Amino acid sequence: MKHVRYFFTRKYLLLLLPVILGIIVSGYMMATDGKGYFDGGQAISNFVPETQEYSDMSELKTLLEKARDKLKDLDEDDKSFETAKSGVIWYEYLYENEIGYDEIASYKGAKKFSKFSLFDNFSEPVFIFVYLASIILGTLLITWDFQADTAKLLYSSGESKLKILYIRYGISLATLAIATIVIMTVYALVANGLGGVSEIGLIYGDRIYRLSFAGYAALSILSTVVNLCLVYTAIYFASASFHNVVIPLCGAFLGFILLVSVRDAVPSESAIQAFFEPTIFGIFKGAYMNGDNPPSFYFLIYLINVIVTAAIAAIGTTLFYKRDIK
Amino acid sequence: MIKVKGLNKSYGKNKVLCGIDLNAANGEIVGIFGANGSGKSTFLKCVAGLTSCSGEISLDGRSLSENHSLMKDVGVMIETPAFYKDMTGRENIKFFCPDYSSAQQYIDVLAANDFIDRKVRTYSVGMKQKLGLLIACIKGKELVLLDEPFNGLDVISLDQADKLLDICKKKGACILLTSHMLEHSSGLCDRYYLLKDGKVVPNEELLKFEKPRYSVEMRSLQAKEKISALYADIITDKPGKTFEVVLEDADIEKRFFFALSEYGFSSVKDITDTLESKYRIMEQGYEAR
Repeated sequence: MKHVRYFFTRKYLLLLLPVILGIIVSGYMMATDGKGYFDGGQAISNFVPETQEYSDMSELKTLLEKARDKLKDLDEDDKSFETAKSGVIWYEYLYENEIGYDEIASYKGAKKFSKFSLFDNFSEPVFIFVYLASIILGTLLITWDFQADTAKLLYSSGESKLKILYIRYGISLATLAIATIVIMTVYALVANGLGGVSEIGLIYGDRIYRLSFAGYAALSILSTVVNLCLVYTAIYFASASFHNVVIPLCGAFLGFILLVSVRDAVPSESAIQAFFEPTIFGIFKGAYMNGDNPPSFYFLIYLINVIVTAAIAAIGTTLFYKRDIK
Repeated sequence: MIKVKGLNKSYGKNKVLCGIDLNAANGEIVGIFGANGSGKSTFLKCVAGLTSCSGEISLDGRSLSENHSLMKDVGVMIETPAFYKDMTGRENIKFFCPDYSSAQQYIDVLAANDFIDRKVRTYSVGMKQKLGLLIACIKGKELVLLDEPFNGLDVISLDQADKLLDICKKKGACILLTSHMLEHSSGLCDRYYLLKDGKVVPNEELLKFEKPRYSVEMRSLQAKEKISALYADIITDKPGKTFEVVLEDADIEKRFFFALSEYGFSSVKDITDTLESKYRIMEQGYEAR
């Protein structure tokens, strides 16, 4: 703790304060200004098939038979085959479980206020928080000692260079992770307090999952924390290779801007999007909710991300260890 | 005791240190002097483990490179001292020195009580220098490495710094210091090494300068001629009635001064080489004397 204590002084916490305030303000603005978001259920829209309105079970049965007929007419290679198949599974599930239309919160049909969509809209500011906080802490924590010239005293203190590197990494990552969990949990509690739909139906393959808001929030938080670990590790160890603040700081900001630009430029249906999705939705949600790709695809993407991050950490550690302290 | 053997360091093709051998005992202050770029700071950085090098560095028989934890008892102040500016001087001492028990005694000796509890960002250059000295001396129970420790210190602070180093020495620490303030440092050091082109100047070279030298003005030109005839091999002629003489041993010295009083002289000045003049000769040749 001694080796990061100086970093948690007022000056450095003030650097993080605007980021945290930004999240709170943007979350608040979305909650008060974005009623349209809640009605559309934007973030969950792709995961549940559109449900046509029905008043009783007999109407639902008719809808189910129509869906089955539609599926029969389609060839397996047809583009809309998977969607039609999802529709059948969905209507079967509703019929077998005798779920009334009023109980459903799904694509376009979600006329009710949805805490799920409210919570999902919060993921963007959290994504920004994760990046900005990672950039600020990750780039400065090691390089600042070289910038301020305190490195000579620090690294001749008798503690090994690697110990200082890893202790700082562990404590700062844990702090960021706790901050992320606290921020998201508070927001989830606020969203939950607003009432509305308590469960959502998710379809994946031949199965329907019903996910409570608590489970959904937990998956989302877990996903964000895993992403934070990857992003922070990459930024921290890449920065440790440098002996000045400017290059890693500019590099990290540039990388962030590039990532967002490329993500926005790539068509949303493209498989390449999956490389960016983990940073937003994460493997757990991704595997559950996106029927376009099997879970193994997301695991593969994540595996690649983990391998790349580990490689960056190994290179950063080696360069940091071998480099003279000037 | 620190022992350095065959220390080499290069930056690319530029060889900065070429096989440095050096040792210093506990309770000894050893100076390392040389021109700018002669490798003094690099040498201290190598000992402090801040830069990679080849050769052996051992502290009390244990290799410093293999036992980095030995650095816990090594105080370091290399080049301009820098600290955590948002902490006070005392907080910085506590941060860098595992054992704070002797700190107050040292703070008193350096008269640092007035500023030690202020944030470092408000410090002057001299105050930072004092804090650097304090941290190095408090931490360095075994070895203290000081690079230009007297920069930015006024006369009174210099005296305080000398006192501080003397306490460290008496407590058994071995002190290696570099400085450009040669006259001041040479008075403080028990021994010194001169570095030139990355090598230690051999002792035999330095011994040449240790012989007593005098500048003598005779009463008359005749007297100068007579004594010059007697001691031609040790006298160097100078304009007018003056000459310089190097006296190799006590016997010659005795006979020479007897002859001087016999022929009559106006003045005799001791111009035995100081560290500063030795340094000038080493760097620029005898004309620089």
